[in-house]
Amino acid sequence: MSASTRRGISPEGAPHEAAKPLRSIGHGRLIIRPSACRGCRSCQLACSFEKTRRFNPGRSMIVMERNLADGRVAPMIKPIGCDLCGGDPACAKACRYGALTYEAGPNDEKVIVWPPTAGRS
Amino acid sequence: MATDCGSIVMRPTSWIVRVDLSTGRVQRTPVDDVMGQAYLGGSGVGWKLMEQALAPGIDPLSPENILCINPGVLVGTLTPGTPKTTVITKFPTLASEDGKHFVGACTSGGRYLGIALKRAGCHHLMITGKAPRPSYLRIHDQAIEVVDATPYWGGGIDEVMTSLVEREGPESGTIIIGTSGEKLVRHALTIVDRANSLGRGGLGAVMGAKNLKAIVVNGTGDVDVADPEGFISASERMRDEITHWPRREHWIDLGLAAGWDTFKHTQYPGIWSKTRWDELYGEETRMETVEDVIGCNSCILGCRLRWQTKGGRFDGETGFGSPFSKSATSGMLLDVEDFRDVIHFVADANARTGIDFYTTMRLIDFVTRMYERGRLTAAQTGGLELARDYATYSALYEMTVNREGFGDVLADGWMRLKRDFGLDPQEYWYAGICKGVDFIYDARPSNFHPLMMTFTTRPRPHHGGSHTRTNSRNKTIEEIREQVERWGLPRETVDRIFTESTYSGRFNVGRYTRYMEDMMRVKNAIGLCTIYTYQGLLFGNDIAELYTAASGHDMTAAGMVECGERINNVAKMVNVREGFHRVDDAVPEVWFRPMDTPEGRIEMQDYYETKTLSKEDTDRILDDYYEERGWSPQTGRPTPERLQDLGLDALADEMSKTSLSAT
Repeated sequence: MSASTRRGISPEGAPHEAAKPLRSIGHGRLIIRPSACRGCRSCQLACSFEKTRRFNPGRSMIVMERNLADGRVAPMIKPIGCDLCGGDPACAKACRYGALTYEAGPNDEKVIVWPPTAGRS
Repeated sequence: MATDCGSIVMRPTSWIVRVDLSTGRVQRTPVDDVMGQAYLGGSGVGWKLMEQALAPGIDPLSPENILCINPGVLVGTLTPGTPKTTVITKFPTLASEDGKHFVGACTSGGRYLGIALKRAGCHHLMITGKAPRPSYLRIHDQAIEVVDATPYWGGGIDEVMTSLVEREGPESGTIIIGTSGEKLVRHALTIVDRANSLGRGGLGAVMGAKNLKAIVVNGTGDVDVADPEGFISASERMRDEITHWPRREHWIDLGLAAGWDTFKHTQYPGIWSKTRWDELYGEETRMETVEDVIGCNSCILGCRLRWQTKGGRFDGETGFGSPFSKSATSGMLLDVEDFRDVIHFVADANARTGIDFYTTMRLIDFVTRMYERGRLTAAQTGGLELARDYATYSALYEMTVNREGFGDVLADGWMRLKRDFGLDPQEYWYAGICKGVDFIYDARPSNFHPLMMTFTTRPRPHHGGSHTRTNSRNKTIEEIREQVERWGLPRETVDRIFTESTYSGRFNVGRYTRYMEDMMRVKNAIGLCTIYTYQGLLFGNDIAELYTAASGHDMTAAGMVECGERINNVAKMVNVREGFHRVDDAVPEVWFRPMDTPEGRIEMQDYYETKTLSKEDTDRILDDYYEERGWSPQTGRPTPERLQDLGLDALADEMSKTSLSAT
């Protein structure tokens, strides 16, 4: 594998052969709406698959917060490592509940939580 | 690992993990590839393993019983909705007067359990023995240990789940029993990941008898598919199509609270008028109570609920699961007008006791009514007066959970009432009972369609995975036919199913049921939620495409049905060894008794309501079912010839050389 090709990197740093090549980081932003999340974890599966061609939430750039008090879950993007899939994020494509959407165009932040006061407890 | 390496397709390896709770010993062995192909994987292989390992005639509450836990083949991948795990065990429900117990499969979705099992490499987790003290099974990848759970014993499901997830991590998948499971109540079930129930018929008691309070699973491994590009392309196409299903918005808005317009007809117990039922338990009560709709893993048609009660004596109570349909029927049967009071039992059963709400409420309905009629006396109930009021219902519920006094009788279920007091379950007035299990649906308001039939023909009388288009009323014959055709059945078979008859109406329920059951085996083996086939969104050809890409084995829809038939025959043979016979598949007597309701008389009719069905009619339908299966209509058991055709030579020999095939 050439130096210009980045392997899929798991959170533990384990490389995987079937990874996609390096892309430029997308310039849009992901919008997370925690209240819309149903907890199906499709975003995690899509993210890991996009990066490694394997399904593994642990290899994805998304953590599902699990609130044991009220049973709710919500996605949270790991700030380091997510390249917004070069501008076509797999997680947003996989989310069918409107909890993760992608907005193209230049933005200062690549991930925002909406509404800004949405609980992250 | 499974990836396409040039021309060689590396297929994902599945593992059998055997845990002996008595010794703590763990053994891992790979599944033979030939067995994987013949039985698809998942619960298909699980059934074959149980056929090989489970000794006939054992007490389901003994250490010899086995819990065989099988996440579906596609669990942990990205699909429209394959979250299901199937558990196979011998259930403690008293299934017959002569002491038989069925070996059955129960299924559950969930956010965490199935995917955690797959990531931990537990494709078939077989648990035997009995832990020396209250314990939970802790699985973290290949580290599997039996952990002391003494502090959890006596605890409610929710509190144990919270503690275990805090201890083991937020992605922990859990199966937990409540207090009723510890007390070996024969209709104790389990709760998976908080919002899903698992194991009507007594899975909770099987775990309780093993001193097993919980199973908590974490895994870090990958879930691989043999052909990643083919798989994701097929999956995304199906997900896109289903996202555009016109009814999806309504469905994901209300989840299992949707469907009142169908339900109020198909599950009508016939005591109140439908108008009154509407007012007390209808759509508005649901709208005001639902808080969240929860999706199982990978599912784009999330349906589980989080609800909160507003007002009433249980103001503010929250719960998880699906409380509405079950509370509506029980509310009418028990004449409780405030839906919140009935939902409280659902919330408590799911969060604390783990008792089966349906069976508990129907037993309470039966005994309080029988007491009212003088068929049961205070001398028989240990001095307890059984009034038809909420305080009595609450007392009986708690006594059953704890096996206190008369509750000990109720904790053993319908057959114990017959044995001790001569109260025949066939006298019960709603839904019907077969093999000691009360049904959720009644064929009189629902009509006699394939799901009704499978309640009587499948070893464990519950619907898990069996829904089809005919669950809803007024589907066109074309829609019903399409469901069968797109599973690749030969033209002559389809024509045979859709041949009109005087006893079954426009299609042959018996013949249809055979294939519906085989499809159910397929869905459970791969982990597909039945909502997708019930709503006509996915068919056998779709599932075969996903399966082929995931497993690396070329598979057609018809090939899957054949595997489903093989699995079903193995499941049946396990139950034949337990002594089950055609007489145990009897249609409940109550279905032949007309319901006189405020809406008029309701009789059991065929799906299109062309005629009232008699016992002779359903007997002929049952004959057709066995004939379509290639089984003996006299015994209701597989013939050696059919078993041989399916490659089940050893089972064919067993049938030939033993008395099992005798009438």
